[in-house]
Amino acid sequence: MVAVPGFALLLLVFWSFGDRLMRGLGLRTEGAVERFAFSTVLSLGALTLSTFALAVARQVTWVSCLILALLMAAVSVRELRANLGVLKTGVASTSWKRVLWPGKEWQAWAAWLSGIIVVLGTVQALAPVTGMDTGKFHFAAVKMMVREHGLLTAPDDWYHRTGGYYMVYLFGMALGGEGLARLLSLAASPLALLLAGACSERLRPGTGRSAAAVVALSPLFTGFTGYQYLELSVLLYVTAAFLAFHRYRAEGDRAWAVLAAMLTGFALGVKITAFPVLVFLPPLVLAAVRREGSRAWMLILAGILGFSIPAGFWPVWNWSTTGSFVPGYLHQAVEDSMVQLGPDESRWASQFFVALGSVVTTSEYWIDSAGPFVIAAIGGVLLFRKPAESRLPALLALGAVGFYMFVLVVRLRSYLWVDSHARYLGPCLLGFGAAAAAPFLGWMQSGPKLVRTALIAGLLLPAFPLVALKAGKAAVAAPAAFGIESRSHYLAKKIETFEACEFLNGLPDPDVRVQFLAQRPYYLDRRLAPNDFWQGVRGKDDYLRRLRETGITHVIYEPAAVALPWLKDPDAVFGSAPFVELRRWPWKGHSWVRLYAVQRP
Amino acid sequence: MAEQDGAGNVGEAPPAPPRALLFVALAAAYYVIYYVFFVMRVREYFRDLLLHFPFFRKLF
Repeated sequence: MVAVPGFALLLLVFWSFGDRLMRGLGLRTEGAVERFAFSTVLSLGALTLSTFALAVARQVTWVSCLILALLMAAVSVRELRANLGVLKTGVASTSWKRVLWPGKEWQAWAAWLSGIIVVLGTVQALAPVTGMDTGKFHFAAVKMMVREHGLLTAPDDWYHRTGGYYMVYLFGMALGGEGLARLLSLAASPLALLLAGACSERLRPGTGRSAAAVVALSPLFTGFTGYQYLELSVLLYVTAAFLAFHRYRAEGDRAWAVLAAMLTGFALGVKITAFPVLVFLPPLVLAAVRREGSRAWMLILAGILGFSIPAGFWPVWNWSTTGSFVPGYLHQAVEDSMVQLGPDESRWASQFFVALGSVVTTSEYWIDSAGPFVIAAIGGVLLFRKPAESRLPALLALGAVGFYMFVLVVRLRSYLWVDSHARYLGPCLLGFGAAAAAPFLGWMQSGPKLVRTALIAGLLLPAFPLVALKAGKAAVAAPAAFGIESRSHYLAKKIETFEACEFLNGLPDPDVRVQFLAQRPYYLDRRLAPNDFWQGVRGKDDYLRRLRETGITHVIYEPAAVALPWLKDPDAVFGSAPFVELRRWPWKGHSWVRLYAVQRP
Repeated sequence: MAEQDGAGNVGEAPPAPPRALLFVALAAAYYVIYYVFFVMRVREYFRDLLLHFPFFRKLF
């Protein structure tokens, strides 16, 4: 909770700094909502690149991040003053009664339900980190960066995975701890809604609130709002890029086109699985050629530069430090091992249709879904080929699916069996899909009453199970978020290995080094086994040798976290010397999380 | 023919009833299929969520 005032202040600075950038570019955003959302996204982009520069120089500290924030504020004093005035007027003119009870208008209910999802997500964001991928990758890697004041050129005990929004987390964690990093992650959610609304409002006036609802009332948005996952950060940049693109098409100012390319680059820079956003580039180039004629090449060059920097800074860093642009992904050795361990790829054609089915329903988890409304509406746009403004975003959403499936078939066939398709495609399905669905819904409102009612029900009714799920999750997190339940009590309930981590953190020996055979190392403040630990380890004898070589003193074992067949039975491996079981904690069923000490000879 | 909707948009002609109803029927069928999958995915998760609360722990 203590991070909330700092976060609010930072949002004001980001908004104002973004406005300053827009003034420098000679561009105007109209209306407080569009201006706030778009300017803040620009600032997040600038913050990403600035923090990366600090991280490479290993100068990420509380002081340097504070100076960065103060510099952003100092160059935008005029905008800060103006935006404070806008805020005061906005608060004074808000009808709080309407905020609490929206009345009879269905679009007001759509906005209200979207707001409820964000509020419930905010409660979750105020509680300590529990998300699986957050504890495993996103915040775990950033915590190591904070400890090292930036990026190591020869990383020992952590991995390069993804870059873009990690730099925003890094800034937040260095300046205001985990709480501020969580809130900066949360910021992507309402900003994406506002941008989806602003974009749709420009495509077809009067559809902004329904566009926000198309996004907010989807399982993907509902599930991830308040968690520190990366999909909504990709969505944020996709919606901003589409808005900039639309401004270029409608008004022709070249800076909008460059911004659209740059924001697409930021979307791709968040994570490599955001690659379906690349379908946005051909329409951007074609729009430039159509508008600029023979002078288009200059704009295209500027766009390539604008795209390449945010999309490329992290892969280039990876390549220069590890020799691979994307370690772990598109890496031949990893792919080869996946082929050996993975499914029978000769059955890829049938799996292709299974994957497509999961895109239009749900992937592995219920949150991995763009929801039924956006898919149905894209189908409707194809059926009617109307309204005109829905066609391009619908084609972009479909193009993203086609491009994604094409890449999987020709380059990453084993990934057809990795059932996360709706998650990876989610930012494109929702970002482009909302820009197709909301104008389509607006157009259908001029049709028969039954059709109007059915479509409104199709948008709003799915909200109820989602609100119920989100309310349940928020209710679990609320005591910890508001300080009623202690952090350690909450985390011990939510993360099976948390108490083992706390036990090791409390040991007086400074040389404790841990083999973490478990899922979420975020809460462990001890050195981990080196990245190359498993090289040449084929069985228990090799394993014992590597433990000695690397000075491992303890092992945390969590069932189901270990893929190697000979390590699946902990009693067979850890039941004898040099291992001594110190403690165990209940896991699921009759299994246990176990903590072992490794005795030195 | 250009039409004007309630929000003042000048757009294309409204959807013709037969095709609009066909669309709604197809969308309804898709919603049914979607929610079969959704319920399959969410059922166990929802139970785990409820088990966080003492009242439901007693109930199950």
